[in-house]
Amino acid sequence: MKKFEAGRGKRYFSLAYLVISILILIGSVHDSFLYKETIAEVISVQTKASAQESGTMYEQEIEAKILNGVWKGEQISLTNLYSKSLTVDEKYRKGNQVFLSLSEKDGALEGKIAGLKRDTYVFAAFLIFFYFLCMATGKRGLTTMVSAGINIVLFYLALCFYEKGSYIFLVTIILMILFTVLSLICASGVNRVTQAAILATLLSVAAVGVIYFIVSKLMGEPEYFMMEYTEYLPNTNQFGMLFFAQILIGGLGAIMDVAISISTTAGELIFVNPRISTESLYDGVRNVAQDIMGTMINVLFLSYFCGAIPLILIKMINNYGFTEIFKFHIPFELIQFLTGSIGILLAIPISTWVSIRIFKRKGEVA
Amino acid sequence: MILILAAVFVVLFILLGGDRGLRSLGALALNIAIFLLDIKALEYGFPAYAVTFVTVILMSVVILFFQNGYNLKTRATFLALSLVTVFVFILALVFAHGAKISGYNELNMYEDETAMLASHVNINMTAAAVAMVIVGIVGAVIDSAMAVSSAVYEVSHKNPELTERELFASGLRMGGNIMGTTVNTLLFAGIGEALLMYLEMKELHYSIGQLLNSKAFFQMLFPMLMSAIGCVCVIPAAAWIMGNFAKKYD
Repeated sequence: MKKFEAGRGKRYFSLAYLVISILILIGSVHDSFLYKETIAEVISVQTKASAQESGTMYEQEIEAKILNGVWKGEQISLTNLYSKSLTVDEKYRKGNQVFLSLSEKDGALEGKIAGLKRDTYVFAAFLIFFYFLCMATGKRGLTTMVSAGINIVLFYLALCFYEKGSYIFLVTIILMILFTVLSLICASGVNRVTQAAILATLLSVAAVGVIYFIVSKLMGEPEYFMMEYTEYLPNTNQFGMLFFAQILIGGLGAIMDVAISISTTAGELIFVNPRISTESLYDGVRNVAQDIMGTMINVLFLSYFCGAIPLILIKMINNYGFTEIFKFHIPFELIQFLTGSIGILLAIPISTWVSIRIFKRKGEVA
Repeated sequence: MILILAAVFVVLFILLGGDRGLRSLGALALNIAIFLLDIKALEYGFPAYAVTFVTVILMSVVILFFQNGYNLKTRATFLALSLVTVFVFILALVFAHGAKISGYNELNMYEDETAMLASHVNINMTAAAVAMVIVGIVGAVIDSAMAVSSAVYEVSHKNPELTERELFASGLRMGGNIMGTTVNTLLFAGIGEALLMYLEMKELHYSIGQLLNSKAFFQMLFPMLMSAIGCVCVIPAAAWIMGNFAKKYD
């Protein structure tokens, strides 16, 4: 009976969720009045190919209707160039909504396409994720989202400080502590296991920081100005500090994951057998640790390097070799991957030690 | 500097992992090799989606069967992973074509380095973007799936009287426990990687609207959300498949 009701609750939830999602998505297609920037909808496209020495280019003659602002309702002719690979350009279709930069020349309206309107896709991706999260994990999904939301707000606040360029190091440390405490409490509640995991995570992150600091002082720092997305940042002397923050934040999630798994195991072993000896406790924890470390490091490897696939490809086609790419083009991904993995590995003995310490202090280990 | 960090990493790995550490290290090395082959194959212009699926299969065989052994748990995980990969692939295709995420974004298009590279390449960059997402989810999805199928396996082993339905429910509970930390891992890796990008957007005074519509933001968000969706979807898949396997083969 209970199961039946739970099933029906889920069905109502799904139905309501579907309706709300569709409303949100329809709303986001018609939200151009919220934007200051001019938005137009493509109503017709004519494409013609032209052969050029560097490859075939396609030219699009686009008719579009302006959706907001002073010229709302007016039609405008636009042109757009694209190549088949779509590396630096876009191909537009009927129904696409685009941002325009408008200018008036001799009384005639001229426009250039500045980019596609993507907000509907952002909302859709979030809605799909959130739906599956709720279906698979129930109320806990909500806690997860709240925790992620708070973390994003914290990150935004930190960015405000980073932008001013003051106290970068201090802000990073405070950010680490807040991230860790909040996420772990949201993920596993207020208890001694969480307490051990928080302590272990912070110690491991600190260890990673110290190792990176020592190695970079001994061996010379990487050339930070080679990093992506630094073109418009004014304070070049802060790149090192910012990269340091990137390293710590990037590995934090994985380190927390290891810390919570190990302290949970240690807690469980002690709960099942309060008289367990320290040696067999170590043994039990080691088994779990060896189970997770391999997979966690693969997770980090794939999530750092797959993001770079498109850019690596472009560089390879421009005749860069693998060694060159690794040396000059993605050293930052490499360093982040290595420091993150070192963090995961260090988290194993550190969380074992911290858990045993904390549980022992309460007199639970003989 | 990278060499020193790599050395520290390898030494720690061997010290802490013991015999299994060596095996995991071997698996990682194999995965790096597969990753490089994947890129080479894409560069030669082999069909991108076929290359991607071969890569995913090879990587999951390495992570599951080489690193964790060929058994009921890894077989269930492999099956669950295959289902979820196909699902995420379809989703990623729709989003990649709809939101036009290929190639450079508005921020890195004008960097010094970009200007020196020829942009006329014989590769469909949309396909490259989808390939990146699909290969990228493998690690995280296997992590979630393994946790769930191991847990279901243990539960069914200790309580042979449980039905498939009850095993499924227990798998979902276990999945709920790990989802919080999985989302955190993905979130922090994502914002840690893109910290400078967000800072640059702030420097350029992006509004919320500009952020939501920018290609740079979508290129960061897209792999992260697709991984997260894969991890969530694999929980029921792994719980159900493992529950059935446990009943059938034990």
